[in-house]
Amino acid sequence: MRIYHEVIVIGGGWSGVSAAIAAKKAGADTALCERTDMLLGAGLVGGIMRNNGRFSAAEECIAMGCGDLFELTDSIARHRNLDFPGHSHASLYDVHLAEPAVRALLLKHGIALYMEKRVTRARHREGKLIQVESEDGYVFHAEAFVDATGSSGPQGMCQRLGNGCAACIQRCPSFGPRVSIARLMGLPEYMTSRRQDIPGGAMSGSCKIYKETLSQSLREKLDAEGVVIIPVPQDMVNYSKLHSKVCQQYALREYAESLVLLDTGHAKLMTSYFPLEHLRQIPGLENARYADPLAGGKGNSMRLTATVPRDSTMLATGAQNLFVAGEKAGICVGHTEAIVTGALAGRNAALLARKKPLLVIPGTLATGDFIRFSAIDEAGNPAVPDGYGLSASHAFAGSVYFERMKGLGLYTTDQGLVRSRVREAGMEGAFCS
Amino acid sequence: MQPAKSLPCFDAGSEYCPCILAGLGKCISCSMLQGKDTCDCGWNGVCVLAEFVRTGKQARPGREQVTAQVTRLTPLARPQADYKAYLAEIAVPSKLARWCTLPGSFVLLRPEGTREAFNVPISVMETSQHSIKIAVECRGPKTTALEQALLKHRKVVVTGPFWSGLQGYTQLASLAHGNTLVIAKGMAQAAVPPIARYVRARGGNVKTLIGPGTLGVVFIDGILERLGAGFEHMPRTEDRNLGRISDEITTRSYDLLVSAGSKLQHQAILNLLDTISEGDNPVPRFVWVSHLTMVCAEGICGSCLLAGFRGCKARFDESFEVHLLH
Ligand SMILES: Cc1cc2nc3c(=O)[nH]c(=O)nc-3n(C[C@H](O)[C@H](O)[C@H](O)COP(=O)(O)OP(=O)(O)OC[C@H]3O[C@@H](n4cnc5c(N)ncnc54)[C@H](O)[C@@H]3O)c2cc1C
Ligand SMILES: Cc1cc2nc3c(=O)[nH]c(=O)nc-3n(C[C@H](O)[C@H](O)[C@H](O)COP(=O)(O)OP(=O)(O)OC[C@H]3O[C@@H](n4cnc5c(N)ncnc54)[C@H](O)[C@@H]3O)c2cc1C
Ligand code: FES
Repeated sequence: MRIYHEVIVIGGGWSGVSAAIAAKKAGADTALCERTDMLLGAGLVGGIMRNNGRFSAAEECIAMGCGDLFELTDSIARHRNLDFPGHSHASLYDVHLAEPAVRALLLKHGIALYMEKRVTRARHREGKLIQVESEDGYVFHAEAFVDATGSSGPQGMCQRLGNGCAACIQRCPSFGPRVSIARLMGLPEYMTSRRQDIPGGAMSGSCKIYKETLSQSLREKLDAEGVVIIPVPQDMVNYSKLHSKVCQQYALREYAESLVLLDTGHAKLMTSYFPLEHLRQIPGLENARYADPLAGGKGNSMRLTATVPRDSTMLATGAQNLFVAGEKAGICVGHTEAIVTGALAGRNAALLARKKPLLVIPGTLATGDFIRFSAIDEAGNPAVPDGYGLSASHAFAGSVYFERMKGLGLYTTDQGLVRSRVREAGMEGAFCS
Repeated sequence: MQPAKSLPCFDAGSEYCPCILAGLGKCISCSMLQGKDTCDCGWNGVCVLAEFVRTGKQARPGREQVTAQVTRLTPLARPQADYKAYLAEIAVPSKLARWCTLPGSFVLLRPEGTREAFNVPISVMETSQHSIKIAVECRGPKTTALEQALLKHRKVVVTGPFWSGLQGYTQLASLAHGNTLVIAKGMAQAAVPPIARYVRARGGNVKTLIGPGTLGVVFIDGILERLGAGFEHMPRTEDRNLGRISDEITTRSYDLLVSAGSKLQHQAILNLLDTISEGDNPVPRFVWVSHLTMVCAEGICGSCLLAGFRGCKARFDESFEVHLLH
């Protein structure tokens, strides 16, 4: 079956969903192909929004006209304005409500959705992607494409770099592992090089427990307060797990010495994995059971294994019409980061399809600075001289990038100030038409 | 001990799996692909059969071969040796370099313009984003041809990455945060730096007793120092240093013992561990550098057969006795 749309987004995680909406808003006939039977990818189990610098980034997006997904997650937030170690004013969306809400939003925008379409082939010539094909024989043509296939797995990466498949939300055994479109085109692709002892990759930093398996008092406290912190008995503290985490913003001592539980609909436990026998020795968790990954006592998904060099328009280096977004587009972690990079990639795919000049978000905005700062060049080096490239995780929420944001004065929770900065940058409503 | 019928494979879960053996009904792990109707497989953490079905029952292509430039070549000074040995740095694509980081990684090297029969398995000592460092002793026809290539054109054909240069990987992964003792002799020193780096990165301690062996030189002390890994030189002794090694194991508590040396050394150390365990002393888990004769390293040629298994692919994690049947 042959299908044509002006823009085709491959991968339906937060970045792909954001790209599809932005492309559609820019006027292009847009479709999205997703490997599994649900949208949102890693976003199906995340939940944390608006913590630290993510607040400013979300507000910039709203002012620029690409804030639809932030308004959606705000509307299904279980808790707002929450503080926990190293993080302020977070909000937690309900991970059980997000996917159907996002799907409805895409359909409302008139975006064509192709579910259970795992793209495994690409036809390209001289950097121009002509068509992609799904495993079951659908052929998708477009003027421009967005690779939003994420960086989790494939399963073999979890095997070789982590503790094996722990049955996470990506569900590779059922739907087949992630496939990178850039890779199918023969473009260079890199893994995070934060650790020198393994070839690359980092382990997802949180696992989720069924709330109904917590003791009644713990559950009630979590429902009421959104966050519960329980000290870990000294003999169970494992600092070495911290250095393997994807999210450096949660690689703080507090997260090894305590169990930090957040209420995202599940009880989100801010550690990569925690042996079940040990977990059950902690008061309130005697009957705990993991919801994601199902084997959260053993390991978690490996990520940051597939980063593609690109420029500040999100165009993949060496490609004429392939844009990249989300974890594909840098050592970028987070929903907010995926939504921001996705919006720009989607809009520029639509502009390219219509032969219009591409958009760059100015560096006077946190979103623009982040996009420029988190890129790598063709050789895998930081694209900017003072950048961290493959050697650090980039997120508005912590670690090196939040520090930079504060240093540049780009972090603020003053919504009026964000709006006036966006206006001064000439970006007000820039994503609206 | 009878080995299991199927063993875990070093390549399972990599982009090289399923390999040509799957299509031929000779996968070393998957009992289904071997023609049985039960899953008594050497579980790899990934299902080889599922991958094979998914790829349309096609084997994935094998390792790429790249022609690479030798960017640095240093002869190892060895006063009494008949043969030459070298340290070399080779510029390779960054993907290959990164996948050579794991302990036990090696590549096949041969001079540009020669047939695959000239391939020599060589351990990767260190990697950077775009290069690998190796050490090679030039004795027989293959390594002599390689020496000429290194000296003249400075161009070699590199095939890789391969990972089966170390056996006992599961023990290493689970105990690396503890105390590790490495016994390294001769050329097998080349396999030690990635092991030391791996242990140090997991917060473990590692001490290496290094003997020059027949090679006659110690060349990894600088790297170990940089890694904050302790080491001690072992002069050549009548008892092949077994007294010294025994003292070390019994006076300190080690979780892991890595033997980087000849098969004779592996056997001698295993005998020693047996003696120690008879006295009810705790013994470290045994991990060893593989000394099989490998040629294709992809499970085809059969040079590495060991108790019926292809030693270039199979992981003999717990059953090191099997390794010594030959
Ligand atoms: C356990 C966990 C908890 C997290 N918690 C948070 C949090 O609380 N807050 C936060 O901000 N961030 C969190 N993150 C990080 C955040 O979820 C990710 O960085 C972000 O969602 C990545 O989005 P993405 O769109 O780039 O990739 P993904 O979400 O991985 O999406 C990629 C999508 O592409 C699809 N796909 C892949 N290959 C193909 C193909 N060939 N054809 C078709 N489809 C394909 C996949 O099925 C998937 O749906 C968490 C991540 C994990 C794993
Ligand atoms: C995983 C692995 C890693 C190795 N790493 C290094 C290294 O870092 N540096 C280094 O100098 N050598 C290393 N070797 C050994 C090296 O590959 C052989 O010494 C070389 O292939 C011998 O070739 P030749 O023609 O020079 O000698 P030959 O005349 O063929 O033989 C000399 C000796 O080497 C053995 N040998 C021959 N061919 C092989 C072979 N293909 N594999 C293993 N042993 C063989 C013979 O049994 C003999 O003892 C490694 C071998 C393996 C299996
Ligand atoms: S080396 Fe050829 S089969 Fe193992």
